[in-house]
Amino acid sequence: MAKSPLEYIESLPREIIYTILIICLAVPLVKPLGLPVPISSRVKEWHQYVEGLPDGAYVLVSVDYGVGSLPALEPFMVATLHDLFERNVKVVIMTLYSDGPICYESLITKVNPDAYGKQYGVDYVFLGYIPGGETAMKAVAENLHAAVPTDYYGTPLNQIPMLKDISGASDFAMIISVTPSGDVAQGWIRQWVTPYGITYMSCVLAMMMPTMEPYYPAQVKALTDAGRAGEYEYLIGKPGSGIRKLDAFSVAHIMLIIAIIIANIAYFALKAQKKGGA
Amino acid sequence: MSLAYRRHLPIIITFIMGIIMILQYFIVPKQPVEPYQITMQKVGETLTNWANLLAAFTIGFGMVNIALIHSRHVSRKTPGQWYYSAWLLFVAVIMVIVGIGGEPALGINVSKYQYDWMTTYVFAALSGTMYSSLAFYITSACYRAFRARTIEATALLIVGFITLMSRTPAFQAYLPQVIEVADWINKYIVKSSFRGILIGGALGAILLGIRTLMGMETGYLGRRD
Amino acid sequence: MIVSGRFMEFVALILIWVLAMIAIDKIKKGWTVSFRRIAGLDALEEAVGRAAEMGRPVHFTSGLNSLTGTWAPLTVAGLAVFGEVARLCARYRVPVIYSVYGTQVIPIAHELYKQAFLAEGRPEEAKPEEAIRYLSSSQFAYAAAVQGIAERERPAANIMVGPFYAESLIFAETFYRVGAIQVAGTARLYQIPFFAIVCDYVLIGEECYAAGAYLTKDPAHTGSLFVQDLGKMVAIVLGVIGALLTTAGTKAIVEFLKL
Repeated sequence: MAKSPLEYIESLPREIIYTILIICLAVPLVKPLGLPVPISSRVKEWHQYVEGLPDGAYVLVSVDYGVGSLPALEPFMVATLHDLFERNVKVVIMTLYSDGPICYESLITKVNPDAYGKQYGVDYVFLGYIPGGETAMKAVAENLHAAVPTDYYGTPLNQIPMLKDISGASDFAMIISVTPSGDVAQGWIRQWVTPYGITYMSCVLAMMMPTMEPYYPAQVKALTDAGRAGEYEYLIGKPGSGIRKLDAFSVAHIMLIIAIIIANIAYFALKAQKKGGA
Repeated sequence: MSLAYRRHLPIIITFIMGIIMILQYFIVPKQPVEPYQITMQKVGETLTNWANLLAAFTIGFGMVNIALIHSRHVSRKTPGQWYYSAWLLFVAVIMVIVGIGGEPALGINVSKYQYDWMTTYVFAALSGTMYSSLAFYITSACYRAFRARTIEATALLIVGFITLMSRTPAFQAYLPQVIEVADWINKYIVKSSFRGILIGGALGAILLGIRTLMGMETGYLGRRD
Repeated sequence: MIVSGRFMEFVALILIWVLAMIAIDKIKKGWTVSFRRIAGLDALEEAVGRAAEMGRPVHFTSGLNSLTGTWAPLTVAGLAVFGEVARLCARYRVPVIYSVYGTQVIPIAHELYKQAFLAEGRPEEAKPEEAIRYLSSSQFAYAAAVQGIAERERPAANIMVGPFYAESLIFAETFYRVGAIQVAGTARLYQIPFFAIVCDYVLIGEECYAAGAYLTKDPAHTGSLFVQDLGKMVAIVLGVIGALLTTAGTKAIVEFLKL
C-alpha cells in the first residue's frame, strides 16, 4: 500500500537524509558562508594558559590520537602548536598511539616550525610512540631518559640539546593532550597531575566533555573540545581547516534541527489523523 | 585431565596473582627503594609485562584464524564472499612483506617508503572515512529516535535540541543564552547522572573482580560453571 | 603499611569482600533475595528464538575487547554473555557469529563455544572455526568488517556487550538497517546514549557486570549482586551527608574518605 506524504516524511528513507546532509556539508566547504565565529570562554582560557607560559618553559604535547580521528582532532592540535611556537618555549612531543607518528608527520608539515625559526632538537623534539598507555605516562614522568632512550629518529636523548637536563615530569610547566580516549585523558591526571601537580590542558571530543567536567578546573586547568578548533584559529589569527568547517557545522546542525521538527510535526499529524479516523 | 589441573589450579593462580596486584596498589614501601629490594610494585610491574607479552603472542591466533576462515571461503568459492576473502588475504600478505621489509628495528629498510605510503594513503584514509561516516549514522539515528512519544522521549528531545543548538556556531553567535542553558544541563544533570552510573559501574567491576578471585566467575577460563 | 590516601579504599574493599562472602553464605543456607528483572538479559532468549524462526544467524560482539587493559572486567562480562548466547544458539540450533577484535579472547571464546554445545548435548554440531572470527585489531577496520558481516549474512539478532568506542553507533545503525533485534550493553559512559536511542534493549553500566551472576541463576552469585546494591546505598548516603556537611561549611566526609 502506498504511503501517504505524512507517513513518508515521518519515516523518511535514510538515503534522502544522507543526500541532504552531504549537500549541507559540501556547499559551505566549497563556498564559505561567512557566518560569525563566536569564541567561547573555554578557548580563551586555553589561549590564556599558553600565553602565560614563561620563557624557556618546557611543555609536553601528547598527540594522543590515531589516523581514524585525525580529521576531528588535528585542527585543534595544529592551532595549539602554532600558539606554542609563537612563544619562546620548548615543546616535547610524544604519542601514546601506535599510528601517532603518522599523525605527527601530518601535523608538523602543517605547522611548519621553520617559519617560526624553530630548530629541531633545540626548540622542539618528537619522542615517537611510547607503548604502554598509562604505564608509559608514569615511566616518562619518573625518568624520561630511562623510559625513552632515543627520539623518534634514533638520536639518544642525551645528545639532544634541549633534553640533556630534563629528568621527568617535575621539569615540565605544562602537559597538553589532545585525545579521543577518555582513558588517556584521565590517565594524565592520575600519572602527572595528582603526583606532580603539573598544569594539564585537555582537548577531547565533544561527547566526552561531560565525563571530563568533574575534573575541571581542579585537575584539568583548561578543558575544551576539538570542535572549537575554528574558534582557536580565529583567536590566534591562523585560519586553517577548523575555521573552514565551522560553516558546515552550522548548516548541518540547523538541517538536523529542522529535520527533527518536521518529523515530529508529521508524527503528531499522523497521530491526530488516526485518532480522527478511528 | 584431573579436576585439580583443569579447574582448581587456574583459579589458585588467578587468586594469587590478583592478590599481588591488589596489594601492590595499597602497600608502597617508603622511598627511596634500593635496587636490590624486591617490592610489591616491582612484582606487579613484572606480572603486567608478562601479561602484555602473553597478549602479544596471541596475535598468532588471530593470524591463523584469519588465514583459516578466508582461505576456506576462497577454496569453496562462497557466493558473495570469496572475492572479499581473496582480496583480504592478498592485502594482508603484501602488508606483512612490505612491513617487515621496512622495519628499521630488524635492520631492513628496503620498503619503508612503500609501507609509509600504504599506511598514510590507504589505511589512514580509510580509517578517517569510517570515522566520518558516523555523521551520517548519527543523523539518521537522531531523525528516527527524537520523537515526543512519551514524557521521557520529550525530555530527551528538548535536551537534544538545546545541546544541538549550543554546539552550532551560528546559534552560539546569535543566541548565546542557549550555551548557558546547555552548560547548566551539563554541569548539574549530566555530570551527576554520569557520576551515578560511574559509581554503579565501579562497584559492579569490583564485585566481578571478587567473584573472579574467589573462583565464582570462570568466564575467563572458557567455562560458565 | 598502607600508603597514605588509600587507607579508606582498602577498608572499603575488605568490607565489600567480607559482605559478599557473608551474603553468599546466607543465600546458600536458604536466605532469599529478589531482584528486578534485567530486560536486556532476559531478552537474549527472545533474540535467539527470533533468529531460529527466521533461519538467520545470531551475531555477537564484545567490542574493542582486551584482557590486559582498563576494560578487562567489561570484556570478561561480555564473555559471560557470549557463553549464554552460545548455549542458547546450541539449544535452538542457530548459527552464531562472534566477531573478535582482541586476539586474547579467541581461545576463551573457542572454549566457551565448545562447552556450550557440550552442555546442550550437541558437541558434534560445534563449529568454532566458523563461529569465532577474528576480524582486526584496528578499530575502524574492525567496524568495517562487522558491517560487512551484517550486510552479507544479515543476522536476525545482534548482541553487543563489552567496551565500545566510536564504532558503537556504526554497529547499531547497520544492524538496525538489516532488521536485527539488538541487545547492547556497555559501561563506557559515552556510548550508552547511542545504544539507548538505537537498540531494542540496553544494559547500562553495572548491569553488564551483573550478567555473569544473573545468567547462571546461581543463588550464591546473587549474593554479590545484593552487596553491589548495598554499596550503592552506602554511596548515596555518604553523598547526601557529604553534600549537607559541605554546604554547612565542613569537609569532614571528604577528609575522612581521603585517609
